[in-house]
Amino acid sequence: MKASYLGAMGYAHRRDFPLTWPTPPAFNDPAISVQSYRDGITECEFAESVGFDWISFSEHHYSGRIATGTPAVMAAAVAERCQRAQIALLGPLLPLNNPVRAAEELALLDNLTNGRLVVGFLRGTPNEDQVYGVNPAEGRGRMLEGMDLIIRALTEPQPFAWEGRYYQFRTVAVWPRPVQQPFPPTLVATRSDDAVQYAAAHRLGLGVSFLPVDEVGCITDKYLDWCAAAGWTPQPEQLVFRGSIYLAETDRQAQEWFSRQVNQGRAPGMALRSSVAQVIQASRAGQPVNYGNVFAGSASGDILGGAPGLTFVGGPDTVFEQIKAYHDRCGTGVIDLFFQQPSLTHQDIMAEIDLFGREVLPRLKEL
Amino acid sequence: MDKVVVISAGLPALAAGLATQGWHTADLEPDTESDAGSPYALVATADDAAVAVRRAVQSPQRLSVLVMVAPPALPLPADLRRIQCPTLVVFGNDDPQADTARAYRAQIPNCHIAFVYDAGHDIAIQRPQALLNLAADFLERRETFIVANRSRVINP
Repeated sequence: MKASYLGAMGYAHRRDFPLTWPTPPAFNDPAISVQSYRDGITECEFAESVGFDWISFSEHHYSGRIATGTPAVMAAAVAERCQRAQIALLGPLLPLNNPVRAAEELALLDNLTNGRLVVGFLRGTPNEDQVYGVNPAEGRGRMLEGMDLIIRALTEPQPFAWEGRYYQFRTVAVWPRPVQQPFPPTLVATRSDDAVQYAAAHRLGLGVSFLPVDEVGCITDKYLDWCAAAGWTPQPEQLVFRGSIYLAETDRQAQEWFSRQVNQGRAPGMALRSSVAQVIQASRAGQPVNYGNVFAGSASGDILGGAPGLTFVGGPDTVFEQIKAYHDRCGTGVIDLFFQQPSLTHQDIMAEIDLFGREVLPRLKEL
Repeated sequence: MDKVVVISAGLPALAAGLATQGWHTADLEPDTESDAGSPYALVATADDAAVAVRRAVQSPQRLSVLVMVAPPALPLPADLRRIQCPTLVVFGNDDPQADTARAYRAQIPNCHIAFVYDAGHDIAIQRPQALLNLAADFLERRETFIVANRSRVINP
């Protein structure tokens, strides 16, 4: 089994953020921000040195919790410092971005890393639907078309035009070509049947995030069935699971830390006002929106994500068993771990990486 | 000047759509070229690809622009290199033969290739509006279709 370190590049003082999203830019002090990115890069380098196989990046906007709105830029910077690990861009948010631009960034990253790039196609969390003015009801269609267009753009050796539902380009000629031919290892990060089917039909990997093991198992079962129907069997590293983690020396220390988070109301996940979340979900489903409810509720009482939802919490033995459960039940071959919980400092994270590298990672690699 | 387009009989919806955009349409008669005034545009399916290439080669003064919809895979029609008019070769992105487009582009001197999303071999049935938009844009603007001309102004 392989391990991936999520380079979240969280802002150092993220513990002081309000629980809602977006985080106002007023909370950002450039001096602290610069140091936060330096610390984040150091964490990536250290993770590579203790044996992490991938360093991953994810596109998230308008927040200092995962502060990589332009993940390709971040990946390029880290790739210069991490010369061994695979660089996993999990991923560009397809509904929000120009797919041709995404293809160009992926191809360039594969060149800069000399073929170490891993790609994940992702729709994005519901809050992201507010970012670039895309109608949430079009998100799924844009993602499906975007995947087709990016693959065509990465593999077509001649300039071409594209006549789509959501995208129209008269000249596409992505330069450079990817080092990894026909295109870098790619997975679809999704929980939805149509995107899972797409992954199976196109012989792409599958990424699932932040769900309990049995729910992930249900998704991977369907994926593996559809892969078999398409005549192929995924390799272990085509099954990726992303979870959040807090690792301590002992289970008791971990539980005490976790209890403090709960008591202090610090949610590891991103929070949205529930009324806003309802608007987005309704829009995604093409359902009528009750605008009268959008502005309801108070700032302190209208919060989602109040219950911390860490995937892996405990001492080394417990965390190993928690991760192993995903391997055994779901066939997970790569575990992508989000270490930067809001209350933790850079020093805390470095200590966790060290502990993980000594006590957990060697056992994972034997699975 | 009248806009005249000769179209394969297998593309009735495309012909109807072009007619609404001011084109005078006529069915492609493989055995005679007297089916249209001069000059004219030609839109051909795979079945008529050989006829289309022959027309382009033999009557370069009359055939002003050519669109080939899902033309045949290997072997390619003969004489592609002798086509002089602007040519658009269209494949459905899901067509197993879609990669053939690059071979057409390599042989036809002034050739553009296009992929229609969510279409296989039967583009005219699967994505009629997309095919109409694409073909009409190329017939109207020829090589200049490479530049977008749709206004994206939101608040003028």
